[in-house]
Amino acid sequence: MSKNITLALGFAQIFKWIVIALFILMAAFMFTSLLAPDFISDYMLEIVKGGGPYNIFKCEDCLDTGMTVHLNSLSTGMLLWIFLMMSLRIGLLYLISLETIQVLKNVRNLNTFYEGNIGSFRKMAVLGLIMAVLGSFSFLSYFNADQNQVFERLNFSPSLGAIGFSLACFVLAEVFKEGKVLQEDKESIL
Amino acid sequence: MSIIVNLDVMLARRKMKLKELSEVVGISETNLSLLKTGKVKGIRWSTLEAICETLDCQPGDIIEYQKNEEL
Repeated sequence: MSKNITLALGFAQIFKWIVIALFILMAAFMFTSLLAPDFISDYMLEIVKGGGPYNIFKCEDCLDTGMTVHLNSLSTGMLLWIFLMMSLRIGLLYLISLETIQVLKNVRNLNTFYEGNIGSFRKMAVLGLIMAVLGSFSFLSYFNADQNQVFERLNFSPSLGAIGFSLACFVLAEVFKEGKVLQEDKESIL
Repeated sequence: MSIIVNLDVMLARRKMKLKELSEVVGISETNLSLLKTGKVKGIRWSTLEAICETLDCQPGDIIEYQKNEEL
């Protein structure tokens, strides 16, 4: 039990630091792209279906298809919007990792069916729901140089992973709530 | 509640204090006090056995069922 908890805590800590590193990388990329627009000329932005909303990759010979567009065809406002959306998602992942670490620490300290854990699972479920909503919609406005026209695209594709995660957290909150009642019953028997 | 705990009566009959009982039975005085005042949800067979052995009595001497009288 202790070994498993230590392992899980280790994974959760690694996940937390990966999320932090991801945020730093993304912030560095975005600031570089705002300060030096030539830097992003080879980079493409893709609208990800089901769990997105955005994916950035390097491709020199790719063409704009509507679902994938060159980053330099986006306005500064659009770039900032994408940065904001991605930051929100990373922020939510960071909060989820913090709650996970808190729950695992409580379990390690033998406070498994503790009020704080029920609250943590509820928080994670709500954060998962917010992430599902954020991941389901993606808005993109870009300039197509060939057609000399600005295109606007609003994509909806439900983020099933985040919805499933949220549901699992709600179920776990209820299971832990029941566990707390049973533990209180057990403790009140002499 | 219709189950009455008569632990205080038995303690008085045996001229024993709660502290002494707690030392012999191995249950804290606080928990025995909760049992005495009927604030616990249940009692284990082993606890009941230890109390009965110490007080030299039957389980019925400690716990008793009283029908709720309707007004």
